[in-house]
Amino acid sequence: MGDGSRPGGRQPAKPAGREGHSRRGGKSSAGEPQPGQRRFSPASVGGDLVLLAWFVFSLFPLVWLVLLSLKSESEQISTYFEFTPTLRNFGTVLSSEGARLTSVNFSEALLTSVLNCVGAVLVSLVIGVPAAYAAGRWQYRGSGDVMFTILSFRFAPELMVIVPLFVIYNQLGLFDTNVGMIWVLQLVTMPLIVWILRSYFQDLPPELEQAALLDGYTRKRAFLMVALPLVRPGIAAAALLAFIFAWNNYVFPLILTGSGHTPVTVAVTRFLGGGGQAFYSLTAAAAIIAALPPLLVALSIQRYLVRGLSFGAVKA
Amino acid sequence: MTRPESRDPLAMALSRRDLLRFLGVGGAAAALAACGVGTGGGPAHQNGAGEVSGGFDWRKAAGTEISVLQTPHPYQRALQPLLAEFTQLTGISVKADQVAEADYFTRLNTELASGAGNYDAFMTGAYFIWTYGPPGWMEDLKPWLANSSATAADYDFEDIYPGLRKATSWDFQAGSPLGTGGQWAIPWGFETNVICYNKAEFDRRGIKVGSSLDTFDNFIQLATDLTDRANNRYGVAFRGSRSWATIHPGFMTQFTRAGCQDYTSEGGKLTAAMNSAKAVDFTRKWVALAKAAGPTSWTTYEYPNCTQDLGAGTAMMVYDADSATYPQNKKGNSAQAGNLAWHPGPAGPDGNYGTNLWTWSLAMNAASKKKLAAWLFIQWATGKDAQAKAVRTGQLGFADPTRASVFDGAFKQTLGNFPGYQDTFERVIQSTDIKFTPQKQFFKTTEDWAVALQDIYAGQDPKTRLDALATASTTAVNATS
Amino acid sequence: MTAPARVRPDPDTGGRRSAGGAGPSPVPAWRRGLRPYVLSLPAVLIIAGILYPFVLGAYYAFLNYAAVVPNPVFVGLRNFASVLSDPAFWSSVRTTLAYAVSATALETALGVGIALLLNRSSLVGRIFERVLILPLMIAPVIAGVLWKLMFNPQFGVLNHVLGLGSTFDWLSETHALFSVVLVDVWIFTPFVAVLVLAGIRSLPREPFEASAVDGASWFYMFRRLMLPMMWPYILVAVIFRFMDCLKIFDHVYVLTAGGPGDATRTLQISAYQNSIINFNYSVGSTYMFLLWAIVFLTARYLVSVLGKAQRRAAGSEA
Repeated sequence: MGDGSRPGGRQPAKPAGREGHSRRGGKSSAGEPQPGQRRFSPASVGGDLVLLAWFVFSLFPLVWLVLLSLKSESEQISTYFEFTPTLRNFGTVLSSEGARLTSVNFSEALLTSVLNCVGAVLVSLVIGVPAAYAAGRWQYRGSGDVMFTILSFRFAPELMVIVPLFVIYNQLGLFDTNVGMIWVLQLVTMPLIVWILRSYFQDLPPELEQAALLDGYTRKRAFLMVALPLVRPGIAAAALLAFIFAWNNYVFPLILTGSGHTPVTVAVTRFLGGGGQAFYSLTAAAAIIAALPPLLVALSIQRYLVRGLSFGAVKA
Repeated sequence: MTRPESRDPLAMALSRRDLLRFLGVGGAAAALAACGVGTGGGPAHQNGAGEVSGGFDWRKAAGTEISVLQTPHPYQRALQPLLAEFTQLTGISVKADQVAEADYFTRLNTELASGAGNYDAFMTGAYFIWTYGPPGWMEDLKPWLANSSATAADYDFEDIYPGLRKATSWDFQAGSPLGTGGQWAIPWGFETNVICYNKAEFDRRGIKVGSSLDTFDNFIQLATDLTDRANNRYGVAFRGSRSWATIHPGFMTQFTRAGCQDYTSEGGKLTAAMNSAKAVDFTRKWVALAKAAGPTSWTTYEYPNCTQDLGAGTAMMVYDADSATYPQNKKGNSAQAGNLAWHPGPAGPDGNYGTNLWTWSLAMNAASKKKLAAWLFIQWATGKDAQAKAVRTGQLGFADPTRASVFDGAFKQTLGNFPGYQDTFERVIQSTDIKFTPQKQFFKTTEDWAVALQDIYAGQDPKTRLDALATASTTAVNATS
Repeated sequence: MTAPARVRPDPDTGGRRSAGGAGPSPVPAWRRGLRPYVLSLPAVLIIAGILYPFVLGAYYAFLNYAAVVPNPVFVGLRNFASVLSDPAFWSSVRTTLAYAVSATALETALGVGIALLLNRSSLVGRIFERVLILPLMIAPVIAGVLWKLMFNPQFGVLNHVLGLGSTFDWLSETHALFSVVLVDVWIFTPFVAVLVLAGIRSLPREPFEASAVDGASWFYMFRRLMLPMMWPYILVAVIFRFMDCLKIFDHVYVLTAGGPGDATRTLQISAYQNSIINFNYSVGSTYMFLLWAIVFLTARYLVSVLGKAQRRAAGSEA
């Protein structure tokens, strides 16, 4: 996988370009060719074409989703690109009529999802970062096993655990609660966070922390002030991906929540309707609104992803 | 502090450590779960009808809150605004929860199997009684109906069509017909499976439904003639997805009319009969019809797709639930609204109009702790007043009401712009009931039947495929463990 | 998991030794040894909490628990014997493996390629990088509904835009597997790309600068330096994708319910149909136990490959 035999070839000297990134704090000036990069070589145009092709493929269904959400019910499948747009679907989803249609207030469902997912990611970070650090920095005895056991969360087919989990949750009173959802979402968020961060911690040169220790910091402060900031892109990427997977999780909230704490992904599918009727445009509007919070989170964390690690502090 | 390990990944994969892990899980599973916690269920629940005494009063359970599980449906949509009236009448507040249609039975199944008792009443279909009933997850409503302290004198259970009352009653003995045993749910709304066609198009072409739809072969001919793939038009839409729901509507209706049976029963033992000569011939024709005049992606088609195509003018006919096509004819709901009409479909060779039905019924959770309140809810929702009101005010209509008085009264008045709907109904209702032989493995065997249809559609020989299906089904339905 | 070829000096003792006692008083050795375990303890506890339902779910496979048998008894390995001798099971295994391998391979190839292309920071790249992650925002269930609409031959936009007419069926028995893999690629390639891109951007500069000074070609730098250092990130993405693909359910079920016939009937779909639709929980649990075993063994293998890759990466840094 991933060898150099790709059409169009590649541009050399990426690191130099990246250095430009980190020096300027994440945004390079538009249009300036990076060192070693020729502006309009065939290879670069080829690369851009490949990128364009991917993004057309990637974005077209989403554009279609937006168009669908703007269609009225009688036009939802009988038109392609020519139709009379209306914002009524969005209004219905968010209004009391939407609540009547789905037995849940959509804005409340959004809040519930935010609460569950932020909670799950925070819990996973608080618990997972130390575990990832321990496994990444010290290859201690059994670290492999612990790591693998955490990963094994993801092995369990959801349907295998859902029925016993349902019974247990009812017995413990966790059915239809935020705490219950946050706990079960650990199945989704923790392995991702721990495994991604372990890679970052493994790459961290120990010299940095040693320097901090030499300067008189305790191990804990060395960790908090030196190691943690350096893995910030990793934490951003891991937290973002974990948040998205938790947000989009469907089976667990479907079974483990009731009318009190319905998250938003479950509410969206209710708009499809039943009895031989299908309300695609309404569901599309609901799906778009439901996708906004993770989108906002992604956009706000972007700059952490873009900025590279600054290893300028360490000379080989 | 490194631990010694083999460098060979495969050896690692099968190391002794993993063997211990597997055994550990298995052993822990056996040990822990032997305590019985986690398999749910539990001891049988007592029927609650006997505890109700005194005179009947709607406010007998005032002050309780019940939870009701529903799925989105025109019926549910019609009922929702009326719930406030129920609370006013009885003092019982209703917490309505919903599950998307595709996932409804997943959720309901988990709820009932676990005995959690989160919901007091729920929507169910008739076939599900064959699975939920035997383990005792549903409350028998016969004692409740018989108890005059719990049921109003003017409730008039017999007003509900006999085929529907029969459909929701069974004694769970293999070979026993429907209509014996307890009453497990009260029919709330139902649908017959008939043809809905694009009248405007038929009139334009001068097609006479009477002669074109009188026999199955004429029907096939008509559908094929109407198909014009180049212009994205096809003759008839019916379900073909990999689900029991593909067999149940149009297929089972026409199958029965053709004189075929799913099982024959002898002294408690069922034998599959969907591979009889008549049945093979019918199935061959049905699948050929799907290929020649059906939707291109027939194997993924569910009934919303069928009704959508009809409403868009892509499909000229639909052979499916009348209640599903009814809303398509309401102004604003589809492009072809106002152009649709109904017909019973081709009669059998002997002129019979046997029709399969589906009913959404309301049932009570045997594990409920508020049974009287739940019963009052079910009684009210299936009562004359609420049903008539739902018919009159439902946003998508309420087709079809289960009470003859409501059908003849409020519902008939809505049928002005629905040509053929009432006539069709009256011609089929006497022979409309559940045409399947009741058995506890209904979903497995019927889904396998749908898979067989899909395999035949892909080119397999009908006779051999149906023979294989019949053998497997006979084994499955007669298994006791 | 495994130590790199180059032994790293233990930071605790290394630091303090060279400080010669000028730093804070040394932590006793036993406490230092315990530290990693203490740090990992909460994670392990959470695991234990979720383990119980899992163990119970596994237990159903040893019972004859079904709706028709509400008071199940222990039946030993009978379910396993019947499932393992059922051709439908092996057909599901083949379908699942075909799905997982093709989806993961495609996503990895595309994801790494996109990450490399985006790393050039061309104009196109910079504009679109912000929207790379969008398909992941749509829940797989919704994506299934959306793509089902697009795939529809009668009114779907794909046949319209690609000029395929109303007779091309994306979900026919010959095309269905390809189409469901296509949807998986659409949703999850951004996952791989984001992970790999973040990894690329965290690589140290010095080896590349040194190589550039030595006059190495891009291809050489990619093959000898970048790829080995990227490998661990790529493998993390592969592991997660492959395991998720083995368990795939959401969008496949919406699109085809496992059909036509058994063309897309993955293991979790079979398990679902047995457990929930047929109400035969024990058979469904058996399927899921076996699925778990397959995922477990595959992950074991992949993780050890990851370990080797990390050792190589660490070695190439030295």
